[in-house]
Amino acid sequence: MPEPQKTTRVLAPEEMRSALEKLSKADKARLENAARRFSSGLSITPQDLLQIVFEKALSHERKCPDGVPVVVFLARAMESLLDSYLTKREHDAHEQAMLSPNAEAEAAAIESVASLDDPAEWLQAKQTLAALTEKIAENATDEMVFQGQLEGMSPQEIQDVLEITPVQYASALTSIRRKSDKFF
Amino acid sequence: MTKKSKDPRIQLFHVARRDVEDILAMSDDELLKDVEEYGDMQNVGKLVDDAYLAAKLSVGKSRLAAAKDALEKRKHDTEAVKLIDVAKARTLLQAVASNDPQFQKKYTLAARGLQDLSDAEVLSIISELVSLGAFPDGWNL
Repeated sequence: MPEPQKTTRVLAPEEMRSALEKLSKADKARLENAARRFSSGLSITPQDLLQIVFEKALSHERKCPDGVPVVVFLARAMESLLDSYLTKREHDAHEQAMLSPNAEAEAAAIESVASLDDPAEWLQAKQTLAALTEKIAENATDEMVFQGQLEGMSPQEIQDVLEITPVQYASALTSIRRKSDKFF
Repeated sequence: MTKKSKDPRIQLFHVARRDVEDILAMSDDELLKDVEEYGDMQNVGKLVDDAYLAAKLSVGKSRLAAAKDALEKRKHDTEAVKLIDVAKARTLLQAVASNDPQFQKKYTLAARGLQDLSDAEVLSIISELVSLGAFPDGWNL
């Protein structure tokens, strides 16, 4: 017998709207920071990226499960939109067929304001990355953690490869984030 | 996306992901202290407020446009039904009902008989069929 499907309650549109109206100063700082970092190297502005996720939340196109902090939901929405957009360009047609059915629509939301085919954007991202790498290379552990991040390794993979403790990893992460603040 | 990429935009995205994880895990106090030290405390929230306002306007406009379209459609359907001759509508309904037993069940025509339906009921059924797109555009009712 098939297991009954678990249904998660999601915030109703009016609940979402009310939560968005009540975002704290710290949550706004989190969202700004996330939008700046996620849009770095792309031709989409942080404000455009934020606007897209707000629109999706307000129109109930993206639903926030009850119990998930709204700021986390919005940050994940930004991440997911850009992931779909970037993944689309990375995968061939066969792989694309296996992506989630929403991936195409998600990518389209970003494609309406940005284009990965822009060579100036590519060059700018390359320059930003070079300057960031130089700044982070001032500390050996930070540099190695950063290289792991660039390659898309998971936190656990980075810790295993570098043989560092979670505390050392967290410290490197904070150091990298602070050094990178001025680049985003 | 764990595949190694040479695209600097994707590499920056990987870094952003980890940084955002870190930012989401920070306490409010820690975060605001960081902003005070490294960021622009005076303008915190402005970007979010501007984006939210633009999103509200955009969603509002879309809803208004959708409501206008729905109203137009309803008006169009009502006008189409108003132009129908009741006798002609009965003939049409009889033709549809005799060709489709499911249709008879749905509208309980078998039990009551088409002739027992009032003019208003006949027009109401035709109106429903029009709004369901049962008659192609240009159909002469």
